[in-house]
Amino acid sequence: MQMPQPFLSIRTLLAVAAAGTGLLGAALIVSGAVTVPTASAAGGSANGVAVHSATATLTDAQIEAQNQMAVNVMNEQAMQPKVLADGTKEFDFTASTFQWALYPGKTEQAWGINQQVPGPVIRLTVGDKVKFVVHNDLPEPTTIHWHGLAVPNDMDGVPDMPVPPIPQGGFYTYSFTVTKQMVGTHWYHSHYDDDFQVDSGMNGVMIVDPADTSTLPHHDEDALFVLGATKVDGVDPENAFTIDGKSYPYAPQLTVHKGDKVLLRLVNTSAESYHAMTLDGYTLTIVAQDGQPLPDPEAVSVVSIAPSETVDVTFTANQTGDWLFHDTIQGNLTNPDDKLDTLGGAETVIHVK
Amino acid sequence: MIGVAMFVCGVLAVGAAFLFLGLHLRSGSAIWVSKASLVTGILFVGFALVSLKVYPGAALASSSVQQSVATVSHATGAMTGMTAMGRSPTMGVASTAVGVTDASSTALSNSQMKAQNQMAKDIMNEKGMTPKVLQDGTKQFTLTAQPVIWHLYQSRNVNDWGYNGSVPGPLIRVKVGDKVEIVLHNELPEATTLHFQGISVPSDMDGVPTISQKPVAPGGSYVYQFTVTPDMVGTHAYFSDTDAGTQIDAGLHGVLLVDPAEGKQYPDADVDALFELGGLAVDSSPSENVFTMDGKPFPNAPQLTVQQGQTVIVRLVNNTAECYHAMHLHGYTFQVVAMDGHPLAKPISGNVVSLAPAETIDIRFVANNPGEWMFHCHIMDHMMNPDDNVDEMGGLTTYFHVVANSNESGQS
Repeated sequence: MQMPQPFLSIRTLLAVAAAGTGLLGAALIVSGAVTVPTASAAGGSANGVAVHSATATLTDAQIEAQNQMAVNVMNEQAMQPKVLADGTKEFDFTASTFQWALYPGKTEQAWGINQQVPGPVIRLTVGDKVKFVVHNDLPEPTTIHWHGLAVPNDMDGVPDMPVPPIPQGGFYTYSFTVTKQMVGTHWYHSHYDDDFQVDSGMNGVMIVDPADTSTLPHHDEDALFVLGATKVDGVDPENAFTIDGKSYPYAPQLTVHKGDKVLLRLVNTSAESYHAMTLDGYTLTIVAQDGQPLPDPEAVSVVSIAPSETVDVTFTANQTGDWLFHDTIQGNLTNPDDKLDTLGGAETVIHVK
Repeated sequence: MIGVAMFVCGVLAVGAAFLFLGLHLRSGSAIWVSKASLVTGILFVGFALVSLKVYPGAALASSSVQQSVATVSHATGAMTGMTAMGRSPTMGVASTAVGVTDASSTALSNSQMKAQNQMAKDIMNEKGMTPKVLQDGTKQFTLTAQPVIWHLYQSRNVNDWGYNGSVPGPLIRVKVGDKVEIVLHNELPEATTLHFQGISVPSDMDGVPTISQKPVAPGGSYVYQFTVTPDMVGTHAYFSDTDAGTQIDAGLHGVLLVDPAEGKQYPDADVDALFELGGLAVDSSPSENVFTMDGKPFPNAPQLTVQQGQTVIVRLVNNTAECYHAMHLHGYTFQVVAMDGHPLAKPISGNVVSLAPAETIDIRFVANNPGEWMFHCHIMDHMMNPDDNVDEMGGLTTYFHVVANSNESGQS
């Protein structure tokens, strides 16, 4: 007698299982719940979905190095000048184009000084004699204007008023003596094709201290947040917003200790956008505007800062925790291509330990 | 989305199982089981395929629509963010400005364009309109709102609406104690009114259509009367308050300066200059894209010349219907001494002042740094004229010329 055939053989079961799995996989891919990672997802993917990036030429190590530059800007690590025989501080600036990672999956071509955005932090003291030798390796002319500084007219950096702009391949030496008028938080930026060049990264911060720093109020922490903007993917108006050159989550985060008196210097380098900054959990006290001390400090929750303004604010870190420092203009808190509208743009975290 | 996919896969898998079963059993005895399985399998697979087409398709479509809506709202949000501050005073509200049309590029002669540039200089130098003085001493100013062809830059002339043939309208300069009458004649094709920002006039003199008064019909007139009181001293804006988004940017705006009863508001100033900021939309732009100082964009905006060492007051009035402006002076730290005409008890120093629409700010500096210093809005697309080549300066840009004293040089 023959062995009875099983109702369902193992082979049949395996075949059905295989078919079912194949169909499941196909359906999931078709429905978009899973995507095949593509080679262009440089810097990782956002929220598990591969993000198309403009040019994927930076390695993770390079991106990390750039993010460290942003941390150095936040910590006001200043560029070291070459000191000449007569004591003049000479700074070498090279304006060039380079790849800059804004946020995961987005790298743009930046135009900036010494391969960083913002450019190097410059810290000077009243009485300093300074020279900035600016080399132009950009595809078009450029200048540097020292915003807030009453320099001699031929050092002011406005094209043809009176000095012509620096041609491609050329250089110009800006030299002046640092005066009392210059004390405070200021910045520098191109004044040629500025709507484009400044937002592409041709900007940086200059902090000037008085000759006698004991006259300054004491702070336990002194940090710099440069509020920037740029246009990605040829969109107008500005659609990507940065702190110290990076959009969240690449923006640098500050750590302070409970009880610290903290000074935050805010500089709005955006060509077109206002920013309105707040620190969750804290009142901010405005102590200076455009480097000039306010006659009476002003306690606020939101600091409105127009393009090109600088504002110094203080707070005492009396509440531990992780506090969001962010723009209240909601549209400045998103990164283009950000599918899930999580944190982005002009925000970062201040950790109080 | 995942739920639908799982459902479809489940149905497909079950259908496939039934098909296998049906095919496998065909050779067996339970032929009816086989046929039933086949039919069931076909039905399941068919249902799954239909679902795949309808549901995931719909899910895909709706999710992509949601994503693109989200993207659009992000873009709008970003624009709103910028718009809220850099363009519109109200968050997220689309521009209500209706643009001006181009007039022929030959509509104005060279001498007419020169005459308009001189009007701009006269505004900067605060040359006030001469009133007719009535029997009882009332100062009567007549403002006729009428079409005017206005030159902007290069070969661009536009069809504006202005008071008395100029944009901005005439400077009205009065002092405390004056009895003032402003007669508005309407020669526009639509109704209009006049509003004085920042001064307390009687309610029926406030110029709000239907609330303060019936709007003045084409061909009609209205007389605005008030007595100048001490709290009115300072720099103020005036403009049409009817269909204001269109009419202001068409050119119906100007400045009212009120001096104290005796002497000057700033007795220590050697120079007292006015820069009134305007805006308009050309080329059917949905928002303002041309900006003016005393009625003209650079290079036709008036430029200020002062002597080294002089004390300078600059009055700023933002008569742009939509945009904020961030005005920056090169070469100096200045002091903000008044806002909306009111003196600050403690002046605030800086080098950038932000003005919302209709705000006025007075700044003061001592011109100790000789040279040509740019004075401009730092919202950089306000420094350009449409059709600009790279770095052709335009818009809200001008220069202060600080002439060096012959026996002094360098910075002080």
